[in-house]
Amino acid sequence: MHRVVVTTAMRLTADLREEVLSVAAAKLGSSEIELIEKVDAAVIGGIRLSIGGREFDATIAAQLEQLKN
Amino acid sequence: MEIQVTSILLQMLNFAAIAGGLTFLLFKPVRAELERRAQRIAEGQKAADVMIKEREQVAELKAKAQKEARQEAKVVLEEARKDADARKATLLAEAKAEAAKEREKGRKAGERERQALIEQGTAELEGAVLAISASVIGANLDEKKSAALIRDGLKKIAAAK
Repeated sequence: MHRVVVTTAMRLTADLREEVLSVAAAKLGSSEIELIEKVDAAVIGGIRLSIGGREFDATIAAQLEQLKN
Repeated sequence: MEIQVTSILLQMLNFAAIAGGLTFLLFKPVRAELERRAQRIAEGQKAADVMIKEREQVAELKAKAQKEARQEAKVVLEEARKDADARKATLLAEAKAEAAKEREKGRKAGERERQALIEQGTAELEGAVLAISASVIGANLDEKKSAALIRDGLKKIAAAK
C-alpha cells in the first residue's frame, strides 16, 4: 500500500478523488493506494500531491511563490 | 802769555789716550749693541712682514672657504628645496589618491546601501503584491473554479516526469 497525500484548498469531491487516485496510480504504477486528504486554505487553489517521497505542487500559492523568485 | 809746546803735546797725548780708551772700551760695545738692535729690528720687521703675509694668506683662505661654504650651502639648499618639492608632490599625490579612495569607498557604500534599500523595498512590494493577489484570487474562487484549478493541477502533475 502506497501512501499519497493530497492537499487542496477545498474538500475533494468524489469525482476529484477518483481523478487524483487515477493520476497517483499512474505515477506509482500501482493501484494499492492509501489516500490522505488535507485541506489547507493557504494553498489558495490547485493541488499538491506527495507520492512516494516525491512532491508535485500545482497550487496557486506555489505559482505565486515562483513569481516572487 | 807763553805757549808751552810740551804742555800742548802732553795734552794731545792725553786726549789721544782718552779717545783710544773710550773707542776701545765704549764705542765698540755701543756699536755692537746698536748693530744687534738694528738686527733685532730687521728680524722683527721680517717677522712682521711674514706675519702680515700669513695673515693675508689666512684671509684669502678664509674668503675662499667662505665662498666654497656659500656655494656648498647653496647646493645643499637647492637639493633640500628639490627634495621638499618632491616630497610635497608625493604627499599631495598620496593625499589625492587617499581622498579618491575614500570617495570611491563612500560611493560604493552608498551604492550598496541604496541597492539594499531597493532590494528590501522590492521584496516588501513583492510580498505585498503576492498577499493582495492571494487574497483577491482566494476571494474570487468558488467551488466550481476551485475544482477546475484542481483538475488543471492534476493534468500538470500527470504530465510531469
